[in-house]
Amino acid sequence: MSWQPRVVIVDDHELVRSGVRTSLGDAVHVVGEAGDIAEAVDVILDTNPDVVLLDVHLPSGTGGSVITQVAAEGNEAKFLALSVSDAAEDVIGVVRAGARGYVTKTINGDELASAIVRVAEGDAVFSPRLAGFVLDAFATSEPTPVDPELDQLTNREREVMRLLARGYAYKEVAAKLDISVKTVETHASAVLRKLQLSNRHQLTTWAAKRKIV
Amino acid sequence: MTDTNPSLQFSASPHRFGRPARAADGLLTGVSAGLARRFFLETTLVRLAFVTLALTGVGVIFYVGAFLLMRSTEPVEMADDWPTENSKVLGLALLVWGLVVLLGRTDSSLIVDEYIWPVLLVSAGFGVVSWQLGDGRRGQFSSAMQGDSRYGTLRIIAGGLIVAGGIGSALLTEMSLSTLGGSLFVVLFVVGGLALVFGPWIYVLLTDLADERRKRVRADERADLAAHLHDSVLQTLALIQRTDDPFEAASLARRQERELRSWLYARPESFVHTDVDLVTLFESAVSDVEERHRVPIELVVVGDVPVDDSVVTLAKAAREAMVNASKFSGSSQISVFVEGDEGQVEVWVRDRGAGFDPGLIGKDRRGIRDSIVRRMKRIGGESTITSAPGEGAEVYLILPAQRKAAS
Repeated sequence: MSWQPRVVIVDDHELVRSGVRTSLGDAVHVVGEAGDIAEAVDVILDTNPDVVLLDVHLPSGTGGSVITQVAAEGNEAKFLALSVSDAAEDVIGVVRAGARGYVTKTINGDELASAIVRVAEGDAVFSPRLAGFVLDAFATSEPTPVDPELDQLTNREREVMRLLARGYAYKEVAAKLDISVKTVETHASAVLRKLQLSNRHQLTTWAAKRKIV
Repeated sequence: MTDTNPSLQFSASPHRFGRPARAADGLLTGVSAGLARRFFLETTLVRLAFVTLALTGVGVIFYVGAFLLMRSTEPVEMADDWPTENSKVLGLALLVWGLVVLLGRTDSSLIVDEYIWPVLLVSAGFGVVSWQLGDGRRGQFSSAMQGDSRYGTLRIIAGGLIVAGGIGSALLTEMSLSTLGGSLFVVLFVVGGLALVFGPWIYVLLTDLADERRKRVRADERADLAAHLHDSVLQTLALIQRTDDPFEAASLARRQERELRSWLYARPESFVHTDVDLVTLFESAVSDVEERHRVPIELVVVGDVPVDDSVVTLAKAAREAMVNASKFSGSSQISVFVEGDEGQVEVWVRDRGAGFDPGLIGKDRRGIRDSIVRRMKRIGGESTITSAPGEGAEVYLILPAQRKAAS
């Protein structure tokens, strides 16, 4: 990997930060670390990284508030949520706040590095779990949406999400559906955009009561 | 033909003191000869008795009842001489017809002209229904009952209509007589007719179908037992063989013992699972496999369906797929995706490990065949395994919304 994205790691556990830093190795350039929301906002505004690896749960609130505060300052850092938390509320919350993707801490170093690069390049990163949340949240049985353009997945997007939920990488999804990786990325980004912009109030209600794995 | 050595028949029949069997060498259907042998009487005497009684009409009903109640001489699976059996039934119907016509001509005091057609119709109906019964002996009746065999159903309907016609005309005739004896006869007539139509049906239902069901339940139980033992005891034994740590071996053995005991004596799985949802069900399967085999499994569950025994069985099959992936693939991560929608449940278990050729699975490897493929078939689902050496493996399980009751 020639280009190294500049990365800030935000997690309240020192041990996790050093672990993540170690497993990333030379793939990225870690420019800063932070342990709570205020510190995170400061570090990000100071170092102006390409990507922020953000824990969903922080001592004084959720990762989502880091995103909103940084965005309010006009900073264009991209966020990748990294968490052990699998509660739908947390995942949807942080993605709705503007995170470009969500991965769990079981991800290995190489995959995490390539996820960071992908986010830095403007793409969306889906873990199987996030894909599962999307499928669940945009279930077909929902009542008529307010804005069909935003509140529904196309069949192709749904197919892509199902393959991602089954643990397929973008490359494998592309091969399976006989489309290019670029097209898969386009679908993924479109789905993420829908997840962030969809004005269905159900999405929040759904996430709040959904205990999904 | 009638003078076969009776002792030969005795030795051929293992149940000679139970339900009497129809004799294979009888004149019509073997009822008289069978009864004669059973009660050590002269065959001709019994036949004479039947013919005499038939003059009053009662004998016909007796004969038919005896035909139905007596065991068939041929074992179920050997009864492939259906033309013979059918011709016997037709012969019976023809005989009844002949008798009725004859009696009608002689202007007997017991059977008058008005009864000829009703009795004729009833006996024809009986012939048709009995033909169906003959089919049932060859294992087709059950399918006719389920509406699979159009002809079988047609025959039942035809028989029923004929009998109903007989009853109806008898009723019309009786209305004008309106004597006490006449009404009594009508009641007998109706009951007899109904018994003729539904007798074979109920009889076959109670015997053949019960037998079939018993056999299937036994086979299912066996497969269930084999699958369970494979999933639990055999796998724990394999784990124990591979571990070097005596403490872990002991703890595995203890845990297995506890589990086996609770399964043997409590069978908690067979209850209805109102307290469990799809997520919890698969979560427990995943954490169990993770704990035993130490390979992280990423579980994603979308949607929810009511958890019944079929879904529990599906989870067991999925668990077996996870165990296989943990043990054989060498993959560091296994993905499990469960999607439930409107009663249908789909499961994908995927690894990125060594992969294998699904066509080259040894006959003694019971995991895939018993614990996955057969299990899914039993609950009306399907399983597909996609894999090639070096390309990981994916096991796909689907449990459709319309499915059989769980075993």
